[in-house]
Amino acid sequence: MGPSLIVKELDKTFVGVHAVDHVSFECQPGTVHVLQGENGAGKSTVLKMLSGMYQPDSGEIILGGTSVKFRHPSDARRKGIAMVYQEMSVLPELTVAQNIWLHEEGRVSGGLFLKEARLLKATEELAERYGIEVDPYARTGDLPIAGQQMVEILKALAVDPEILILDEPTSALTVREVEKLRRIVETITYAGKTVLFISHRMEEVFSFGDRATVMKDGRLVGTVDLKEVTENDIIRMMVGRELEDIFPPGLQGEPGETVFRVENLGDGHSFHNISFALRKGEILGIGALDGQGQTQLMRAIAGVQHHSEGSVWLNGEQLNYQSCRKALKLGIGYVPEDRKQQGLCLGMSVRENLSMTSMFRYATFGFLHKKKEKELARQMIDRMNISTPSMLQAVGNLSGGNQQKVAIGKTLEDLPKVILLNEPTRGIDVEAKQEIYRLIRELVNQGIAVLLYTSDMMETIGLSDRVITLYEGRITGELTGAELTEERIMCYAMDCGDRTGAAQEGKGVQE
Amino acid sequence: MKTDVKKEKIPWLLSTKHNRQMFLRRKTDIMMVYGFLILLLVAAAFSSEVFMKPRNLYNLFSANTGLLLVTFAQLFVISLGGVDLSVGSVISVVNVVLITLMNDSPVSWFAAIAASLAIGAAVGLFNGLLVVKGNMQPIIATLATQTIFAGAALFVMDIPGGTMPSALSKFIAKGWGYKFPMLYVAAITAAVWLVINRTGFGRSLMAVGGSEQAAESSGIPVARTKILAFVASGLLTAVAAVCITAYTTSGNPLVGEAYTQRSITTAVVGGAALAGGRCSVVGCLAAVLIMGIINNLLNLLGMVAYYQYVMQGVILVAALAVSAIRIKR
Repeated sequence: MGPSLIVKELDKTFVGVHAVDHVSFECQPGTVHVLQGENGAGKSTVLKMLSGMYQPDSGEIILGGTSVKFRHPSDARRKGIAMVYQEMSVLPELTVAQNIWLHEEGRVSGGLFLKEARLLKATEELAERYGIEVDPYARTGDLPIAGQQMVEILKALAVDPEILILDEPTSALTVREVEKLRRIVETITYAGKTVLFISHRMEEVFSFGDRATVMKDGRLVGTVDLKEVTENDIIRMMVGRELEDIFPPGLQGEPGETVFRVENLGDGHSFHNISFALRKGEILGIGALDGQGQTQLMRAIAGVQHHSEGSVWLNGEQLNYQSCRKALKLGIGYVPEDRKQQGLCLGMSVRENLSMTSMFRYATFGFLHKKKEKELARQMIDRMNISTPSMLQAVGNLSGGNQQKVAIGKTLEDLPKVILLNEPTRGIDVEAKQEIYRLIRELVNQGIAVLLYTSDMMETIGLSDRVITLYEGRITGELTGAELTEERIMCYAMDCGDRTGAAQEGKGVQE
Repeated sequence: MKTDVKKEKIPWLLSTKHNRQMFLRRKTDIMMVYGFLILLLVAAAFSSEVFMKPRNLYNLFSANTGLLLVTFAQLFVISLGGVDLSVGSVISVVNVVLITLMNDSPVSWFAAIAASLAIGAAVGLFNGLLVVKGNMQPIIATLATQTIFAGAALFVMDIPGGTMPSALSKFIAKGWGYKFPMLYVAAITAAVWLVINRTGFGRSLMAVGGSEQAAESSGIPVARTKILAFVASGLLTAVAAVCITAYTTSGNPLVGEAYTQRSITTAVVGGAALAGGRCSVVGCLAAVLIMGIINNLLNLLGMVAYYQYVMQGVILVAALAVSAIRIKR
């Protein structure tokens, strides 16, 4: 059997940027083909050309032996390439079935009017075929992110495509959900289809993929068989040099005194009875699957939402606050998980974003101190190593990693004593991630207490000195040092049966 | 700090190429508006010989000071990402109250004007509280209050009537050979520019308009900013109403009606984004002049007044289209 998809000398230039420079590769039917590269390497542009969002300047797309041209994404869908986008595009008010068959209603209902029953039946059949569990009646907005993603995937599969493109499908998923997704992808490839896959998580590249095409700066580096190469080989291809040590060294020796602690914190529904302490010089990680109350917990500590029970203590004093503003004043900074919506004003400049938390502090009679603002912004750009042509650049024009640095820097401007980081590396490339790791470690070394949650288990292990695990809003364990293994954390985070022994063992080590 | 020595040498503002580029890019829409204004001025000077006469220019100025001030009022709410639909009827309310309260003594003039400004601020506060405490969209809240105020204006004065004492109206509209109105228009413009571009409140306004959640998590007092924006809007609307009353010299419960749509148009033409987070005080000056000149010209050329409405609508659509295209790129 010949290749299902041949990409030949594909080329695309945007104003001033040669985004994709004569890239060629082939995909075999029944395989998972990974497209790998740093952010900005051009892989998204390739996918957008394959899915009909962009038209290539030159080159050819050969699908099942015939050369094709797409004018529009729906054109590509019809001809056999369906894409699941990184940003969710489901409509929250519609049911799962309605979302899946959006624009395909006519084909399923077979008539002028919608026949809901047929949509539901078709959904059930489709879901069963690929072993995906969904409730076709559910309002899509009520589903968790992972559930919405399944709807997206089903929507793509609804047209029975030859090529399914998954653009960072795992970035919002937890380990358990990723495993589920892997099985679904297996079913899809077993049916003889090709899956084109992008992920920033190296382990997934190897667990999902059969072959990988690596791109760098818009050019093709090469296509390799993933059975014949190692992670380091791929990384070397991506960045052109070896990244020996991904995480900075952790805490040496004993942590300092307790800076911050919470006692019996609860909000009545999403988290209960949470107590922990942050000590000087250490990073406390939260080990949890998605949706175990960790976001609500962090938001409550940050004052974004309320907690009804328990107390918060900073340097031995009990704090009382009801707003994020107050929390910041008291020294608790929060970097939200969604930098584009919750963290930054994308249309405003780097400088304006950086000064947002602190501008009132150095204002006289409400007037901003421009010189001071510039000075502070410049220092923060240096300190965070933000790569921006100038401080007047709109934040929305920066890369994801630099945006994240602005989001963290903005919080630091207010000189917090405690900083809560929720998903600080979501959707940014390998090198930027490493910089963020180093920054977090630096913050801790400067005496700021850090609470970290990341859905990437490798990060939780690599960065944290101590981990508390959350399951259904309750702390299920605490791990340090050599106990920080993926299996151990997962065991606690999923609250599985044999953890009692493990828990006692853990206690022993700690005491 | 170790990098400071090296970085100290890099000049930051305007002196780097990128900063110059960013400056130009940020000001492109405003420069476009001014370019259009110059073209319009040239066209006007050629198509009507009366246009450039001082009398006409003074008239152009007097007729549009009100609009400029309402545009500033609108700007505060638009920057938040909302629209204030109530400015028109607030003008009407202030107009009829002002005329009703006014007698021939300077003391009562002062009291009436003070009362007008108080009404404006109170109305703004009411709108702001509805938006913040009532958790409403500005457009919906002011859609509701707009009819309330329109009704109130008709309740105070159901048919046009009454006059402003001519000494006062002359002074407000033309005092010191037009120097007095020019002075206060310049002063208010400068004040609005300072508040929006140089104060923490102005920055908060842009941040809330840009992303409310981000503003919240940055410790910006979102509720206070919103309420203050509406109060500023109400207060400026009242000032505008006093100017408009001095210009028309009489009471009319419908006098403000056209100003809601006109002020939105001028704010958008002046470079404000209806989505919020971006606005330009300097752009508003040109936008108001453009609208004023077009109306003035249509008058001078003897066109029926209805054309003015058509033109205003066309300009609004064009301005929105231009800003939509800019966003898409």
